[in-house]
Parts: sequence; C-alpha cells; structure tokens
Amino acid sequence: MKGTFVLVIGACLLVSCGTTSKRVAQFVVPEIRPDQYEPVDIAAYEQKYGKEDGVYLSYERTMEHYGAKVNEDGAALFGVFATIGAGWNYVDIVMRKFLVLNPDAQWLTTFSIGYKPKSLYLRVTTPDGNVRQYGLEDLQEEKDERGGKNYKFAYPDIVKGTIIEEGIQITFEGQFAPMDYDIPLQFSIPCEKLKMSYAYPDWWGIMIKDIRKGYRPNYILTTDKINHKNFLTFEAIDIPAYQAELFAPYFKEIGNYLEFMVTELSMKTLKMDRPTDWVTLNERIWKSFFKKSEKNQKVIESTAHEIIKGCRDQSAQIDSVLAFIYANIRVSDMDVDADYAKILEKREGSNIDICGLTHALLQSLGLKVDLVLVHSARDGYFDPSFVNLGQFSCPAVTVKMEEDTCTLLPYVGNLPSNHTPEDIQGQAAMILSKYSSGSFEQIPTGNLALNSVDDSLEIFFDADGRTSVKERRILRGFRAYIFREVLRTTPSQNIETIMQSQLSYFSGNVRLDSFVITGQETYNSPLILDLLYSLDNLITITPDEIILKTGDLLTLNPNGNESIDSVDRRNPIKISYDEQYTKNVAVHFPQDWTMVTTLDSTTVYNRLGSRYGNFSIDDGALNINQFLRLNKAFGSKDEINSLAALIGGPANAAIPAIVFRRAGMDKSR
Amino acid sequence: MKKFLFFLIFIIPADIGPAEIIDQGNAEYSASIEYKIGRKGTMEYSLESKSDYTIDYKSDSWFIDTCIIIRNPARASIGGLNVRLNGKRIKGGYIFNAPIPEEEIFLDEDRQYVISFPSQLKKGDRLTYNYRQEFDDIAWLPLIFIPNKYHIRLFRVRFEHPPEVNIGFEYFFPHGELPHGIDTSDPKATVLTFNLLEPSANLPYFPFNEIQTAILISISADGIPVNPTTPEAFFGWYSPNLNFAPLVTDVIPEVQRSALDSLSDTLDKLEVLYDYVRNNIRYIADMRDNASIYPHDPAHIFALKYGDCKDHAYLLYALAKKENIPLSLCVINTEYTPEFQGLHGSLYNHMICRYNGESQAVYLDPTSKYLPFGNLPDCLVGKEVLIIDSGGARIEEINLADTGINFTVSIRVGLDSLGWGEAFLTLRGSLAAFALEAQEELSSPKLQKSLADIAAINLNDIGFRDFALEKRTLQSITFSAMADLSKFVIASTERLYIPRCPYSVAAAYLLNRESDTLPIYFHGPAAAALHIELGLPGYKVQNDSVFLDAGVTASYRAVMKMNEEGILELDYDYRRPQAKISGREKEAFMAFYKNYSIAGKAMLIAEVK
Repeated sequence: MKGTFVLVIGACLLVSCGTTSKRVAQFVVPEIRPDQYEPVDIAAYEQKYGKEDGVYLSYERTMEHYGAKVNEDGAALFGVFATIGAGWNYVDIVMRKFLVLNPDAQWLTTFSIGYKPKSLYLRVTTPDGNVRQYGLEDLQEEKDERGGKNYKFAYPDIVKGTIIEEGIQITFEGQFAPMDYDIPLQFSIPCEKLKMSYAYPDWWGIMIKDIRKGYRPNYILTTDKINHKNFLTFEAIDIPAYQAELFAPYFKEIGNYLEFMVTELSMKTLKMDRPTDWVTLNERIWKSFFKKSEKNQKVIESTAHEIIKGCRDQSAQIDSVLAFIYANIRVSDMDVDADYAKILEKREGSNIDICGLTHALLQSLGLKVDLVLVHSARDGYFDPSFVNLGQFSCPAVTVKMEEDTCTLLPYVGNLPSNHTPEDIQGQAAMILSKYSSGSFEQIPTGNLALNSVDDSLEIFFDADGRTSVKERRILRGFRAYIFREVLRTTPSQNIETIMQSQLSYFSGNVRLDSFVITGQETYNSPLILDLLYSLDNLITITPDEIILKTGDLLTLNPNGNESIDSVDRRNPIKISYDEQYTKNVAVHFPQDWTMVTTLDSTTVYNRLGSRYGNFSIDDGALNINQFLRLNKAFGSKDEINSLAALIGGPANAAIPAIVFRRAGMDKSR
Repeated sequence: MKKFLFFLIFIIPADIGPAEIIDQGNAEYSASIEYKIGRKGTMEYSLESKSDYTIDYKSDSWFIDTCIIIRNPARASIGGLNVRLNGKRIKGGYIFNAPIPEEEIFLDEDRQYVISFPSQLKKGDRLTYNYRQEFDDIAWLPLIFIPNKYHIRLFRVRFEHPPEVNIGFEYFFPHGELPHGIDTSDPKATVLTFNLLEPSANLPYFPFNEIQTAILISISADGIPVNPTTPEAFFGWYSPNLNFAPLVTDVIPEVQRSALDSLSDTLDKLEVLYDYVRNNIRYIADMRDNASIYPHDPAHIFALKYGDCKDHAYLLYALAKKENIPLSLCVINTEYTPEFQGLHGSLYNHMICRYNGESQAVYLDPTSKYLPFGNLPDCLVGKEVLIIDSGGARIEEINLADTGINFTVSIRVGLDSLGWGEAFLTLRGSLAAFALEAQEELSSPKLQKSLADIAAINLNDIGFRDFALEKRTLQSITFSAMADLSKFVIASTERLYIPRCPYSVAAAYLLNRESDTLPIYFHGPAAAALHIELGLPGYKVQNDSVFLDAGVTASYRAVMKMNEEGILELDYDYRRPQAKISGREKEAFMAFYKNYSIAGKAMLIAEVK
C-alpha cells in the first residue's frame, strides 16, 4: 500500500541559493595498538549479562547529508526518498564494537550487508590480544532474490571473549537517500554505549515524532555554523536488550527508537514540498488515486441492492456485502485504481480498492461509512502533529450503526464483520474523502466480537470402565475465525486428524467415534464442534473404589502447552483482547457411587482477569464448572504473577484424580 | 541438535514444483517430465530435461500467499521458466531467483525460484509452468516425488536415450503400492506413467505424508552404472575429488598435544581429538564451489575455526589419520528418507565418522558440540549409513546395541511432603547434549523450564522444579531437583493409589495406526528408569509388579514392594530401542502399547494398617 501511496506526498520545486554544507563525519579506521591491549574480564561480563549472546561495548552511527544549494530552477517529484547526485551527498557510517559471549550465535559472529560499502573494516581481537583485520576484499558476494547483492563474511577463530569491531561507510551516490528515518535505539543484546547522530544542512528542517504521548527520546539539537550543519544527536549508556515475549506489547509500544522526517530541503534543483497538514495530504491522495471512484454509480447501486436482497437490518446488509466481497473479489497486487465497476467486472483489486469498493457499495445503501487508513499499534504511538503517510499501514472501512461502529477489513478473507484486529483497536484512522477536512476517527477500542470458547462435556461410564464423552465446543470471535481458517486450508482427508487434536482428552487410549462441524461456512456465526469419543483407560475400578484419572479432560487450559515465564519477565504485559473460556463438565456416575475426593472451589480474581472452578453433585452427576476471563489490559511486568495465576500452564490448571466409593461396600474388607 | 537438520551436504535437486507448493486443498495435478540423455564419449552421457506441470484448482480454499518453489541448483540450472495463470503469463515481478533460506547455511550457490501470484488462487484457476534444466553431470539426476496433496491426473516421466542405455525404476510407496506402467517399446525411449492417483490421509508417527511415491532412477549402459546408485558407482564418482590422506600441517594446542602424548589407548586418544573438534570448530556452513558435497581442506578449517558437518568430520578424520587412528567418513540423514535398495546422494544430509577398531566400531558426530564421546544423536541411531574410505564405499546400519538408559530419575519422598521430594535426574546421550546446551546457553529460568519439560514429556503426573547441577561426567549430566508427587499419589480416605505405568509411551494418536500395515516412526529410541522411595508409615501394601515384553521393540518392567522400614520402593523401567518399528514388530508394539494402557488402569493400593 505504502509503495504506491508515498509517491504523492512530496513535490520538489525550485530553489535558489549558494550555500554549502560541508561534510563533518569522518570514517577513520582505528589504529591497532597491541601495546595498549587490555584483557577483557570475561567472567565479569558473563556475570553481568547472563546468557546474552554478546554485548555492544560501543555502537555509534552517523548519518550525514552534505552539499550545496545551487541556483537553478527545476522541479521533481519525490516522497520519502530522494535521488542523490552531483553536489549533494549522503553518508551513513556505523562503527560498533561488541564482545562475543556465545561463539555459536551465528548472527553475531558473521557479517552480512545488502550493499557494497564505500569503506569497511572488520577487526577481530581474541582474548589473548591477537588482532586480525579484514576489509572489503574479504567479503563474499551473493545475489539476492531481486538481483541485488549481499556481501558476507564469517569471522574466523571466534571464542568466548572475542571482541569484534565493525566499521562501515555507505555512500549513496546516484541512489535514493531516505527522507524518513526510523532508527532503533535498543537492540537484541545489551549496549553499554550508544551514539546516534543525524547531520544535515542548516537550511533544512526536520520533524521528530513523539514515540509516546508527549515523549521523545532524549536527543539534543546543535548547530555548526561554520560548516552550515545541524546535528540531531542521541546518546545513552547501559541499554538493556529487547526480546519479544508472550503477552507483551510490540517493540514500538515500549522500546526506544527515533523516528523523524525531513520537512524542508533544498539541494540542487530540489525543494521539499511535503504536506504539512492532513487536509493537504488527503487532497493529494484523493486527486492521485480516487478520481475514478465516482464513476459508474449506477452499477454500484444496482449491485449493492442485489446483494442485500432479503436483508432486514443494517447488520445483515453489512454482512451480505462482506460475504459478497469475500466470495467474489480476490486480492491482487494491482495498483490503486478506484474504478469500482471495473473491479467488479475483473473480480479482483488491490487492498485499498477492495476497501473502496466495499465503501462504495455500503454508501450506496445509505449507510454511514468511511474509507479510512488506520494506524497500527505495531508502529507505536500515533503522533497527530507528525504529518506522514507512513503512520498508516492498514486500509479499512468503518461503518457507524446505531450503537456501534464496526471496522471492516474486506481484503482479509472471512474475517467477521464484528472482529477488529487488536493492533488497530483504539487507533487513529484518517478519513479519505474528496471533501475531507483532514479529519480522523478512532477505531473502537473494544472488540465487538465475543472472543470465547465454551466447552461442555458429558461423561458416561459403562460397567467395564469404558468411558464415552460427548463434547460440544463453541468458538466465537477470533477463536472461531482462526479455527475456520485451519479447517478451510486442510485437505478433506486430514480433517479427522485435525478434529482429533481438538479433543479435551489426548493422553491415553482415546478413539474419536464421530464429529460434526456446524457453522464452517457462515463466517459470522459461532463455530460449533460436536465430538463423540470413547476412552478405555480413564477410570480404574478396584473392588472398593473407582478412580477417575482426569488427565486433561477437566482442565481448562486455553493456552495449550504454552506457559508463561513468570521468573525472568522483561517486558510489560499486554492482553490484546477480552477473552472468555468456560468448561462445564458433567460426570455421570451410577447412583451407588459416592465421591470420596473433596474438590475445593477455586477463585482467582485480579485486574487482568478472573478464574474460578465450582463443583457440585446433582442427580447422579458431578458438575464441574470452570470459567476463565482475560481482560484486555496493559500492565507492568510486576503483574506477571497475576497473569500466571490465571494461565500459568497446564499443571496449575489440572484437577486431580477423583475417587468414588460404591455404596454398601465394606471399606475394610 | 538443531543444527543437524540443516546440514545439506548433497544438494542434488529433489524434483521440484508440485511437492513444494505450500498450500493444500482440492486440486488436480498433471506432470510431464522429459529427460534427454545424450552420448558424450565412452560411458559418458549428458542430461537435460524439460518439465511441464498443470494444476487445476477445484476449490478456492487457498491462502493469499500461495507460491511455488522450484529448486535451481548451481549444478542443474534452470532456464526458460514460463508460468501462466489462466493462460496469462506471470512475469518477473512475481518470480524471484532467491537464495535458499536455510537458516544455518551462511553461503550457498544453490538458489530457488519463488513464484507468487498476482492474485489469490480461486476455484477454476489453472496454473501451468514449465522449464528446461541442464545438468552438469548425469549424477545429478534427481529423485522424483509424486506429491500427496493433489489428485494426480497424470504423472509421466519420459527418457529419451541411446539404445544401449537402460533405465531402471525403483519405487518407494509410503502409503502402499500404486498402479503404474512402463513403456519400453521404443529402444530409444522409456516412459513411466502414473494415472489417477488419490491422495492419502495424513498419518501420525509417519514422516512421508507429503509424498505418494518417490522414484529412484538407475541409468546403466551395457549393464554398467551410469549414475551413482550403487555404493561402488558412488565411490567411483565421489572419491576422485576427496583426499583420503589429508595433510594436517597446523598443530592442535599444547593441551591436547600433551594429552595425546600421555595416552596409549586409541579410543582415549580419539576422544581427545573428538573433544577438540566439537569444542573448537563452530558451525558455519560455506557451501560454495564444491563445498556443498566435499569438505574443505583441514588447513582451511584450522585457519577459520569454523565449518559445516563435513568439515567437522573431515578435520577429525585428518587429525586421527595423523595419529594413526583408523577412521572412515560416513554420510547419513538426520531425517527419515525414502527407502531404496539403491542409493542417491540426496538421501544424505549429514557427515559423521566411524572408528574402525579391531574389536569394535564407534560412530562419532563431531558437529554436535554437546554430545559426549561415544554417543550419537538419537536421530541417527538405527539409520543406514554410507561409509566411505580409501578402500571403497559400503552401506551399514548403525548398530542398535543398547545405548543405555538415557533418562534416569530417583526420588525420595514422604507422604506428608509429597510436593517436596528429593530427586536426582541423570541424562545421557542426546538428552545430556540437550541439557548441556541448555545449561550453557540459557538463562536460569529458561534452563529450569527446559529441564522440567524433558521430565514432563517422559513422565505423567510428576513435576520437577529447582534444578541444580549435581554432577557432570564424560557420559552424563546429573541434576538435583525438587519433585512434586502430589498428583502422582492419589488419596482416598483410607487408601492411596499409586500408578503402575507412569511413562508417556506415545500419544493417543498412535492408535490410529493400528489398522494399517505401514511402519511407525519415532524420533529416536527411548530408555528410561524411575526409582521412587515413598515413605508410607502406617500403610500396608500388597507387593506388585508389571512385566510387558514386546521382544526387540519394547519392554516395560515395574516392581513395587514395601521394605521393612515402611518405605515403598517403586522401580519403573521402560525401553524402546528402535526408532522405526515395522511389520510384525509393529504389531507387537501396538499390542504392547495397548497392554501398557490396560496395565495402567490398575493401580497399586496402599491401605492403612
């Protein structure tokens, strides 16, 4: 989406001036001084950084634009990239030094780069002070999938405690130089000393994005008047590593990074003409891509009315239109065109065009709809003052109904109309329209779909101890969506295997006797699995007592075998959706059995959710009712124990074996 | 362990396309592959091919990112690729000639075409693609696979060849024999045809769900092999470029040198060399030039201190040679492969060494950094290995000799403290390697979790926590831990019930395999022993035992008795020495599995005195 769209956001017009911004960043290969080598205390580093693969001892990156304004007239279009040419240069220098703690970590002990550097040094210092240096001539060339080249080098003789230094200078002569920057300030290993600099001519302007509300990384801006240079600099020490975890926010929601864009520029014949407000941005997008959107209204109207025949309310109309799109319009890589009649005829279109067509169909029915571009939580905080199309990654259609607003992604096949992916929930959405005033709306925070799994089981025993189980599982919301996708993409001969994997009991002699799937094709209804299976090793019958080895049969464990690590938590906690699970089990046993085992009701309640288990005996059945609810929430890592109390893995959720005694039996016989 | 999976040493192109399509669904598929064998000289032949594929999609249950992958090896490069969707040519923007994304191969010449589609595939779509392939050497003639994801309308392989050439087909039918025909009516052509094949359902404990058939093609001329499908022919083809007397000019460090000089026993010396290689040569695979099939020179490996499995094996071979220790190089596969009488280079993905002692043979895998001397990864035990040394090549099955118990647990616990038993867990073989790697590379909590997972995979209802390293020997690693038996011992008011069969022998899916006659495949052998001392003062127990014996496939022994001090001693011992179980042995194992489950229904009862 972005690839096509970004081209419209800037236009370069004429400029006139004669100032020169000189290069200040230097690429100097550090001298090798064996006499100054100080052995590294490897043990101390190991103690400090545990089992990290390594640690950056220093990491310095400098990006610099330099060159002259030129008195010429001209114009060119560009967006987030601009072509570097005579009189305008851009250099990107990275100099980093790291200590290897895990020599088997190939990602750390090899070097790969996607373009040939202008200059390069790679230096290896072994713990005994032996230094070897390599350069461009040592790189191995390899073609990538698009015909470009990768350059690779594997560092020789790496042991724990080896220090690797990498110095890379990249120039962009005749190539595109980025005008938008997204620079991570945190890495997958710790960094003891970090410096990032962006140097640019002092007649340029840049804008820095807030990465959280009212917060930007602690950078400084300085000026070198002699060289006509401005500097954006960020420095930090002792930066911890970032690693992804279950139930954790996206990196950009919690990690440190610097995002900025060039807003004013004049070099050679180019001048930045970037939209500075959302109204202008919307106008340019509309003029460039949606001029045809109002053609063939009659075709759209007649199609829409044909689709909704028999629909009684707005919800039904929305679902019908969505079902029509899913069934008839395939997603393709075509450019944005907005000729919706043509898309209907060709039965294919780009993501944006499919949204546009859906919007047009619903609008023709009189529904309150907007075609929008939505920010994603994956991209961190939405900064309303940072006018940049790159803040949006997800086209969508919003529909305002009497009480709710639903967000449609009609190019994501079979996604129910009432399900909103969590990364766009609560996010800003820019309304695209011919007459937009650059306005935004907010995607609803709550997920309209109830994301739940309701399991009900009835367990019966026969005289020989064989057990039959009747299980009904009802999946709703995204749980239904995900499983429907599994079924949809599984060959028919393998469906039974998939269904067998859904049984509550899977650790013994179990046989799936039959199964029925209901709602597989109706994407907006609950998905119901009816399973009938038998077990012959669930109960042990002794002369006196009967032992029901519950295994996983009674366990409410939505997380499968994934358990969260409550000891070594690094990140805050994020629960993306409200989720709810119930498991109601009726164990039918003969009238002459008495339950010996005492089952205690359990209740866990905290800010992240609740969990309880109740037990009762009624009409010859042991009824076990379990409930788990996870609340959509964001919390500190200190709350990990609260989360673990709710979903701490299968062992925590298991119900022990249950013992019954037959009436009339002499327990002391 | 993870590294074994990616050591592609023979990049002979497995047949392409159909088997590689990612998505699954209802589709009809036709293939026509034409090989042309030309005469280049005396017993020298050229090979080129033309392949045509057609897939008709009968449903639209396909993912958006459907793609086709066609391997494009450096030695059998592809040209003239033409892909059409509904007759319309798919052009460059959707076809990438990409490096093969093998995570652990750092540098490689082999590539693959990745073909994506301009739009989602829908019901009624027809995909066709064809291409030519030129082979540097007829030895690169690939195995041919018929995929199991499609309804096969027609699969046809035609060889055009000089009249003195004979084409032989050997089949591997994982799901049972399939009808086919061979036409040799034309002395200059041989045609193999399969018609109307239906896909088979996926089976558990079965690694060949993706293929209906694999075909090995042996080419001979006047009775002499042309492509290397026998050990002799393979040796003749492979060995000229392998130096069986490599020079080791570099010296190993003084520590190892001193150790070697102080030892007299050959195996002790070999262990020093093995430890040196596995601990000092890190794994990085540079597959360029001939390195996809041949190891680098030892001097090269010494200088870089890295290499792939071939380099590890060859360096050990060279170092041993210098010490007059007789080793052979061996190629093997870490995964299950189609089973043929003949051989094919692509059936091997790993290289190890074999010590050719007078009284014993010892296999060594020096790529496995954490595997102690004398052990082999579980995934190699029982596999066929192709042994290559200066005298020739031969196939041998890695001896199934009992590798010992690789998971031993002992627990002492009192009835009043079932959650706090004192436990020791000793791991050997692959499990020890796994634990050593975890201990070396994982943070403490993750190490704890890994060790707890090992135990949970093997034992039902006994939990472990608070692992601490107790002892590390050359062959094993022992951890102390706290054991939780609160779910293991089931209490009623005046009785205790204790399981007689606590091991997880197999998943319930195994029962799905009862009615078929195909083998079952485990990842490796299993051997475990559990000893529990449970203090039960005031209880009496009728001593009990369980003995189950399935011959060579599996055995189980449980002995439960109360000693005079009121301590219940429980000994559980489970062995399954084979990873692949077939034929009557499979029947015996299935019966064993069911009997084990039945035995587990009864429990040992302890009653209040």
